[in-house]
Amino acid sequence: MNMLINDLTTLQIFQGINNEDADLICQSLKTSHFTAGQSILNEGECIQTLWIILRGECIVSRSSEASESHVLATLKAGDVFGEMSFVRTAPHSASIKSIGDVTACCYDRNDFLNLLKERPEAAWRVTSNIAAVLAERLRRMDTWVCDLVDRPNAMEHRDEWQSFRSAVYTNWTF
Amino acid sequence: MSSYESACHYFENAATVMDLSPNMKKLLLTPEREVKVQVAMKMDNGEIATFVGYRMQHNSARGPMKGGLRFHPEVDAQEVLALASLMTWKTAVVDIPYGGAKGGITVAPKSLSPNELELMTRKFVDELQDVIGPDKDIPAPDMGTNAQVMAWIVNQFEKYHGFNPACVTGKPLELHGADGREEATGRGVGLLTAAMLEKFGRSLKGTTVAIQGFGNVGSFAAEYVHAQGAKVVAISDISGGKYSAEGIDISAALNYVCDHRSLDGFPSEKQISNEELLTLDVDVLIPAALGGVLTHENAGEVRARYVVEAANGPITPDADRILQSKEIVVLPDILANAGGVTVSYFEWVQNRQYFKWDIERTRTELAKTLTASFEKMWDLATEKRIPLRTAAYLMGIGRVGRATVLAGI
Repeated sequence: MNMLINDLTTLQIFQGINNEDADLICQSLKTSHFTAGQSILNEGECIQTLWIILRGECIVSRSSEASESHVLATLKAGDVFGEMSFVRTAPHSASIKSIGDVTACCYDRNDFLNLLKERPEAAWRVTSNIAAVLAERLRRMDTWVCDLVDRPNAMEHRDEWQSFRSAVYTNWTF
Repeated sequence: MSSYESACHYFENAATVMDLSPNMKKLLLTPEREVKVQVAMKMDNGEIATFVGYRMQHNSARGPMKGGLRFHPEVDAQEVLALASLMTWKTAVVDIPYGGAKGGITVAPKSLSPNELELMTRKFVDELQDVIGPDKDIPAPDMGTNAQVMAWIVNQFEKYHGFNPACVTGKPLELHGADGREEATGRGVGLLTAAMLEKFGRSLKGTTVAIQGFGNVGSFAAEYVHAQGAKVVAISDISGGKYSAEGIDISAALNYVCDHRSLDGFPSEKQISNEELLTLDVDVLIPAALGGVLTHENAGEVRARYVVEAANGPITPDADRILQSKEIVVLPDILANAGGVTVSYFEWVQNRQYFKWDIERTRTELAKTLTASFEKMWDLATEKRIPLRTAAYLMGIGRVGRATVLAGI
């Protein structure tokens, strides 16, 4: 299924691209459908593809040492994922799963490299839009980190109770 | 500085010495429950009056909460809360099995007729009866309330819960009150003054004393120290002060106040003002009237070697620092005037046992309790080289802390 050029240019990631270039990009986009709970992208894999959600919602999750998985965000129509591996060859930092029925299209890095050769201005626009998405996510991450630093973790809570116990027992005689 | 601020200041001092974390300080300072009620009633002239009443229940880690009820025009939520937390530390300092609370109504009781006062008290109990009680929170007399008010409270409480004399203390003797409750605070001040002097190798005998306030606390303190051989050279009340270098005849003064309701006109060698009394050249100064009488302005002029805080908070934190720098020993209020709450506890014990003690037993037990607390405080202060007040707060906070640690949260 090829998407309409008008639809494409409304997406944040392809904003500012002229109709001719959009037509070229549309031809290389591949659309896929997913049912609820399906894995679209797995943490640790390395596929250099940029995904754009056209319909439905997905969750972004990541595993940690302490727990199996943390939900980091929910993505909706118009949001992109896979952008980190797309610009820099590295395993995916998180997994993406569909919540309900999801339609998404993907843009292969090889198609992007061709675009760069043939339409450098369009490629520059896509890159700059990806940079904007990354900047926004980094900003959100900064706030998160600050909140986590401010909030004492569970380990320190136990220490606090313990040090209170020694403050009223070990150090004093009443 | 408000009473709330100075309460926080002294707590903070002790908490710093104990190295408590901000979260533990918050746990200890946050009240368990704050009750604010409307007390609406029909006045004698048919008008409808609406008063605001409070009961601040600060901490029950060590037992049912205990603290006075005051009827006073300056009663407000923050002040009552500060006093409630002081009760928590105070009951812990004397190691009686209570927590801390305080309450009151914002009202000038003298503006009410006896009927109105009774009605207001009963309406207040209607609002509070489900949060107070002998195992929950036990009120007692305070500024503007007395044994009669306590009698109304018991009677109203019993309409809901049946026979229950232990639901308040400071009751009239005829209604299960304790013999020796009235003199308890003043007597405790005297006992503790003697205990403190002993640590410095002195006794009350021949010691000169000035007492500000000749009410429920000052008069009994004067009587006690006088009986033990101290020379009370100055006394005062709202009408002013009396000074006599050879010592005032305390029993004559007590009789005079009994007949005339104040010291106004009581013959003495010299008339002095309440302010002058504070800076007299005496051994022991006992402020037993209002809070905040020794401030940064007059603390530098204090000539006494020892100051016993019989009133609540007579020394502001600024003045406290000045007295400390002059090496004047201050016996802090949270122990000095704890005789009252201690005998309140004895009253509650008697009520719960349906057994009445004679006054001698009350006096013996009071002396035992206060002396033991004083010794602990003194040892802690000496061991850690800290002022008596910080030591007393440490004891209070530490004991509440231990109960909290053992019980868990």
